[in-house]
Amino acid sequence: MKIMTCPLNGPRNITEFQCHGEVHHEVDPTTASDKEWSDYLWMSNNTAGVVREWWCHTPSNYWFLAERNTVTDEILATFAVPADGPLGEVK
Amino acid sequence: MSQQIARQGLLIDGSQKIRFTFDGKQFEGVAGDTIASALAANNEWILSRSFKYHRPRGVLTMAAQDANTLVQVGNEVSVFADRHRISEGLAVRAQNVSHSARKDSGFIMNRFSRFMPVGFYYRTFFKPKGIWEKVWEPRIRAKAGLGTLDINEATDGYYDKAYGWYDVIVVGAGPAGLAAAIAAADAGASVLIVDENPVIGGALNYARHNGTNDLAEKVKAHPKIEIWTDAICNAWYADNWLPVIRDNRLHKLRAKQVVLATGMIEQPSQFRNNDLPGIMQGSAAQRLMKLYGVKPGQRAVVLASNDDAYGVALDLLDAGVRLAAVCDLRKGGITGPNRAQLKSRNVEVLDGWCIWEARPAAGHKHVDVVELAELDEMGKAGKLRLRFDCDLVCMSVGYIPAYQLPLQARGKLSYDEGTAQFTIHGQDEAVLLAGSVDGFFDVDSCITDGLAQGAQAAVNCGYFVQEKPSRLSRPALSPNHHRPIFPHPAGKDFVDFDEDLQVKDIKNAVADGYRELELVKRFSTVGMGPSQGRHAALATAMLVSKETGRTISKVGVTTARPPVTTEKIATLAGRKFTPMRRTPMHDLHAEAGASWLLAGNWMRPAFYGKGADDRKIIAEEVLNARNNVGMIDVSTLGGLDVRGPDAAEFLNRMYTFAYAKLPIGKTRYLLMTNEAGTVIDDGVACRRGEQYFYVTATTTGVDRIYRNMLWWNAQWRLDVDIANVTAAYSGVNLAGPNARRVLEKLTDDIDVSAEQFPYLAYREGKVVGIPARVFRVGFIGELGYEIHVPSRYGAELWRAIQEAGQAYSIKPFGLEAQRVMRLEKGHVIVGQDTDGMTTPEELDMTWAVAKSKPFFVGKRSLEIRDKALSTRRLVGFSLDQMPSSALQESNLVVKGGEIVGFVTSLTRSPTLSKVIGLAYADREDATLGGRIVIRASDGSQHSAEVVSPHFYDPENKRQEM
Amino acid sequence: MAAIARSPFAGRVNSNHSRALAPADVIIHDLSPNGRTGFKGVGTTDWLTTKVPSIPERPNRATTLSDGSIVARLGKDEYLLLNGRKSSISLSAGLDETWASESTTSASRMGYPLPRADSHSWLYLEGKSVPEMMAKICGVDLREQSFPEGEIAQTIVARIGAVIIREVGVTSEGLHLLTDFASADYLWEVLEDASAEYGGGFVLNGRQ
Repeated sequence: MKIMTCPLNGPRNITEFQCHGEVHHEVDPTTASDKEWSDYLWMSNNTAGVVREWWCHTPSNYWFLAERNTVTDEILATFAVPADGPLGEVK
Repeated sequence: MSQQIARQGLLIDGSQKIRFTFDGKQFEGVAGDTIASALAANNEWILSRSFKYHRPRGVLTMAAQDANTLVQVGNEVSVFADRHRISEGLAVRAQNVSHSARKDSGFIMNRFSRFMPVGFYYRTFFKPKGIWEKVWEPRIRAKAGLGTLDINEATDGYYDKAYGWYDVIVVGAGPAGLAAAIAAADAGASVLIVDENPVIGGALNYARHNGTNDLAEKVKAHPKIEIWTDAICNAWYADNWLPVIRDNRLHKLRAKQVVLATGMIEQPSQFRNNDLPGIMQGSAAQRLMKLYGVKPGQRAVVLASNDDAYGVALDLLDAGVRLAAVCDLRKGGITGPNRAQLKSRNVEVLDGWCIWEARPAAGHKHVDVVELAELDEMGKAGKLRLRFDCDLVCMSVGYIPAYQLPLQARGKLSYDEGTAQFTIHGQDEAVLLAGSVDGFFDVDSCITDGLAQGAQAAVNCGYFVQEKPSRLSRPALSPNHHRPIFPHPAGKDFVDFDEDLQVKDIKNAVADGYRELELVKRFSTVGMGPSQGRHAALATAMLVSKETGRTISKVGVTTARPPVTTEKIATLAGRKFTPMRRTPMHDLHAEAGASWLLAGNWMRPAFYGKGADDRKIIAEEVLNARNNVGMIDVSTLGGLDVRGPDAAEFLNRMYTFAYAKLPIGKTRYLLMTNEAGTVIDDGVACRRGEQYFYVTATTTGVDRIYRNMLWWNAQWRLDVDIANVTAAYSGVNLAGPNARRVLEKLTDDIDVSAEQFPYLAYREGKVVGIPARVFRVGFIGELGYEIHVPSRYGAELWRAIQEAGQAYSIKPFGLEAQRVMRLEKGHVIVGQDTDGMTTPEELDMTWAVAKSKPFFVGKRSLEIRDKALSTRRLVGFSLDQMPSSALQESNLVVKGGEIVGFVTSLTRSPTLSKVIGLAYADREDATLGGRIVIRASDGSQHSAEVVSPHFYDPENKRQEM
Repeated sequence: MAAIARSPFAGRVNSNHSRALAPADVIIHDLSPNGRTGFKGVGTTDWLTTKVPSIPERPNRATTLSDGSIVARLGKDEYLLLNGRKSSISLSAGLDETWASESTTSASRMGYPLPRADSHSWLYLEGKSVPEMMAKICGVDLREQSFPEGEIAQTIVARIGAVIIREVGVTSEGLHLLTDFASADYLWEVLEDASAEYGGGFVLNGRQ
């Protein structure tokens, strides 16, 4: 079983976490066309390589970001959500 | 031959007799014996019958690595006879036999083998269509399978699991493993060494080696080393996560570094009848002699292609076994200390000879004669033959590394044609290999390698090592023969003992076009038996390589997956951890005779009391709430405190309705859609303050909704705090025309009059002295109060309400009655009346969607979905009475032969005395007075009238009293 | 309001199942009747710093006050406060009252109270085999060398969420275990089963 390092709780078994998918390229719902909006909703990049993802440490309900290589399943880095500014989505 | 003199072996106590039975026959062994060693000591060599041809099979490895030794012990199937130790009265039976291992009528299959070529099942049983399921499968199933399990007799042992943590875990306690453990522990690391055998030492305990060493003693005395024997490391998982089975406990261990010193597995040679009892690996004979004090035969033939074979021959001589012949597959230039020693004892060796055929004694129970053939220039069996009588054949022709764990740890296998050797490389960086698994063969170099790798493991953990020894380079010579395969025209030259596969089966699989090893495996089933190709993988690779003209490296071996060896379902199950939640009123419900329902993991009363007819009990609960007053435990309802300057804005974004202008002391319905505009939850928002909402969510949805809210706000970063207080508040819904009178008696500081506490209002105050959050809701359609108090006081509140309500005929009602009443009222349950596509529009709930808001989750999608409405809507329907083929929830709504919807809720309404329900129907039929057709489970069709879903009190007079 | 808070384990503790235990390697005390509270949200750390003498320097650390009360920091702005078991002063009640009165007048942010006495049950596990027993039901290494005094783990115990605190300044193998109030009965059965091999179990009436 893999170990993931939570920015708040430290290294834990991966069973303590849930993955919530890639950090999306932000789409403004007020200006997006129907096509752009449905692409945002239903199309996934499914990137082979480094992705930035949402993860949640479930016992503490703590959300954070992780960079993971989907080819090697290597977790490269985890970090707290910045207080403001962009979440740094992977294109 | 009975053995009169007390046996002497490392693992046994020859003085302590133990009696057991095999196939009903009484045997005597000694303490420390395995089933196989005890039977061998009694000259009983047949342990099982082979899978397909029911050929007698006996000891091959004495290392619990082959299927030959699988037996049934009591009600436990497929137990390794060469691992399981005997105990007084142990009842052992052979598996896969029609009578016993000695007498098996299934042996007739042996004669039909030529009619059962490889892929036989694939080719034979699939035509005509349907015949497999009807005819062949039941018959083959009756023949197939190992052992018999009586599930009624299964002993319910105590199995559990435990986590564990170490700096370094060493798997394998042979010379390399012991040395690695010492080196790592000396550097300060906490070390666990795991070995499947009863004692540490590995090959040191049975193989010939120079001199003695004190590794085992050092390990035992080391304070930093923990030793687990009889423990099986059954897999390697990511980040050095090792499941180790020890007795009835599965240990889930985590190591910073893992040293795999798993050793190597001796390989058989392929010749005709190479599976006869009495034919075994050289190491198996040594184990029998050294560990168990069993003389493996009287007259032996030894097949050699390395110096270990001569060690076996010497050991046999020392044990009093006569050597009928020693032949070596090699020719010329052969050296080795054991060979020299054997020669010095005047034993003749036939160099350049192979075993061509083994022949059984009458009855096919044991090897009797061996025919040797001289090898020609090409290494093939030539015409010159010699025959020897014998009752034992020992094979020492080479090894493969025990590569299962290294390959699971992402290692790759290469084959060196020069040394006829598999080598492993590229495994996970926190996994080190040590000793013979990595190509070091003699004891001294294994120890040197273990010391180096153990020190390296400690360094990798961050410990300091003064002078880290470096590894030796791999030796240029190996004990492996490049091709110990001698196909016989009459076959029975087994490659895979588990699956009864012969040389020609592998060749034919390739000839049939299955050139890739993974396909050969699936077609022929090679390597799919209990021994998982330990003795078949190399020979198969050699054969496929030759047939396809590719290198063995290119052909490779099949993927190694967990588990390494057999494991019990009970081990995997462990203890039962099924969390269940109880409300503070649980014991009171139990006293009142509640029948229970699970809502998520909450236990909720379905209804109270016992009777012949549950429906009647539920109807009485309904009618009492409608006519007098009822109470229901709603503690399981989700509760969230949403606080902060942006609290209203947050709710505006999360839910479809508008909350910014909701006055303090009022409640408003909550409807939540996901980003796709699908309804996913509902509840009520109570405004406690300018910056404080108390929000309810569905029992089963709240944890998900809470987590989801935190996720959204991790992006929005609004100034709001959200707390899940579900368990902290317990609640009672007090409902019915007498509800106000009951509540009046319980509170001094809340004015419950209709004017001061109207429908949808929220109040705080004390109820029986307990601080309470009270709000008026109408879920079941009656005058109702929802009273929430801190959970510590839940039971007190329940009791007080019950007492105060006595004068008004109060009765508790359960979840079933609540569901009936909410359906009578036409209130949907999210999850029951909605599915993964439901929009608010389909539910006729656009009143709860504030389209003028700039944003809410799902808004953009609903705008798109509004442009092209779906073909369905949720409608109410009613029938005067239930048809004889009773309708059920999930029955289909059909129209013109097409499915247009389904029934989501259905009940016989006690209040209205008719059948009512909600269903998705064609939008065109969703008008009052229209008709829909419901198909019952038996296929009959029933017409129902479309009516308002608000079946009961459509003007809402009762709930707004 | 009833004076004594009820414990979700009360039904079990008072049943014939429980017994007075001889000293064992795992002794489980029900501290649920004791006071506790929590605060969370913007301003909590600043506010709490003015109310208690010492605040843990980082999340997942706990400090023990002179009367035995524990200040456990669960996040940047989230705290759990446990009353001292032998203390005559109730830290939690005091803080709850102070928060209630100051929140109506204060202009600065001071977080929000959390009903920890009702959301979580509270056990204290004592004895030398506690880490070994916990290893059967929890995936975090709670042995002292990896989980020293004052450490906190927010994790999963037997599939339910839990806050585990190694207490400071008492017998070294003491762990506080706070879990879902509603799952108490389930947890009881899990702990009875897991502690049996150490001759352990629950003791009556809180800590002796």
